[in-house]
Amino acid sequence: MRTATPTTGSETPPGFDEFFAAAWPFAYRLAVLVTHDRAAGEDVAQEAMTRLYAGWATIERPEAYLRATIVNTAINWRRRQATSRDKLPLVSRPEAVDLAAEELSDALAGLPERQRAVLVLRYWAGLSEAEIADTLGCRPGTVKSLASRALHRLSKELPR
Amino acid sequence: MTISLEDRLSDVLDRQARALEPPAWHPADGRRRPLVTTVPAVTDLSARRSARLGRDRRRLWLATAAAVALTGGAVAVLAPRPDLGTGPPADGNGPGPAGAVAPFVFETPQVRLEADAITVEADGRTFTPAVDVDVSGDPGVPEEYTTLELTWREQGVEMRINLYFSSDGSDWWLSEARVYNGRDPGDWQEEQMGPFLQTPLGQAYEGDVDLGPLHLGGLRLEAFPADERCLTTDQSGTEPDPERIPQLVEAGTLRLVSTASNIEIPDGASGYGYRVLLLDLERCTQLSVDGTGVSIEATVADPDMLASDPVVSGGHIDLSIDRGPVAAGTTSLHVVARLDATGQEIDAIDVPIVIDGP
Repeated sequence: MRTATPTTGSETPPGFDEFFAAAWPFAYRLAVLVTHDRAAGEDVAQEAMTRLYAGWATIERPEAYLRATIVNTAINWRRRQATSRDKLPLVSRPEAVDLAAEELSDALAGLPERQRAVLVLRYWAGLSEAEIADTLGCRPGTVKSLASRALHRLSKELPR
Repeated sequence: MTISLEDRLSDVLDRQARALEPPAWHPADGRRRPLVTTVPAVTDLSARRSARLGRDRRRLWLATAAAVALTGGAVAVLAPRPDLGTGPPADGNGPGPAGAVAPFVFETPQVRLEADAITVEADGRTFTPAVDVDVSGDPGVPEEYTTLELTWREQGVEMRINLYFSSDGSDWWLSEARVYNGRDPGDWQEEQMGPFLQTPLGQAYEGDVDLGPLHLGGLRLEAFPADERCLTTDQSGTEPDPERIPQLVEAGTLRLVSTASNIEIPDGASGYGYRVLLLDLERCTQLSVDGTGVSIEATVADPDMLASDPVVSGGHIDLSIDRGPVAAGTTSLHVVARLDATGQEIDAIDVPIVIDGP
């Protein structure tokens, strides 16, 4: 089966490099947090950024486009994979090993993808319900419901 | 001091993010991923249907369902139906049999709910979704997860019913039900955790159901209906039944389905691999188009924009575009399935082609 070949030798479109420099760390981290897998997150982030690069001249809201592409690509990727999750590293705190944080990290890894995506977008990216709804392509009420169910599940799984 | 779960979550996510060092990479370098690949499964069904084909009501519903599933959008309010008499509803959306139209009918592409009575007990009062009910749902994942969400205002407060559905590919069930508490501002009452109403896929649950404060009388409920599953799951590997094809053509149950909403061809691309499926909606199976008396043809609408004679083998379409000029803009690929014996058109779709450059 023939597939398209990438463009070669073209120059970076105006304004892209500045956007890329600022957005790439966020894109990579968002993709890893949603997939909960570093290798997959890197692939997802590269895929999203490559699409943005290709359509840079016509995409009006690059931040929103990038966010939506990453999250939806990550959710679709995870749906096709086995159930195992990567163990993501944590920046350590001075007070040695933070067991509670490890447990919360593990519980996050076990959430359904859309629920985890909502929590990452809300509590890490700091997006509003409306922005998350825009990213996921659903209603704000659905975001509220997904977040509520995710928090409920986390609270039940974590030791008191 | 107690730290809230939300604060702990922010802290953990922030620490995870800071521990991740972004790799050195740029989309212009040589390691970037291919921009266009063959789509392996039916994931996107927004390719335009050919307007010149006759469409029965069911197929129109399917097209709408697919579009709504893609956008996560809401579906029009269908309840309560004012006409409680006999005969099918005038708008043709009701799945109920003639002469037995339920007073409450709420429907999304993923869930169909009919009931003779729906009440919610909240704050010492009784609510019912009778007027201006907003019906929506999370399309979720086919045969895995979806929701039906009803919102309306009554007695001066907002009221909600959220139903969450799950499936294991064999059965579906109601995994959770939630209703609002009748106060202003409203909040959820304690959720009713399932599984409830476990039912084989393709069948509806029928009966009276009490789920805490939520009462559903004369309920007929189905999640992940067969039509939706046919259009959103990969049906590859199923055996064709060539002898039945003329009957299916006559019955109008065959549908040509695109595996992508559009074909995006970047500057410099040499070709595009693409696939369409011919689905038998009656049995929810994919028909082979090789050796079964059915063939597929594909043509580019504007050959000046994209010079290509697509090579079709079964449902695979190979758009070779290394001959002739490629102009930036849009055109479309017209795909037709025909009966070999008579040349009769079975179905057709037009898939947008978006060309980037030169």
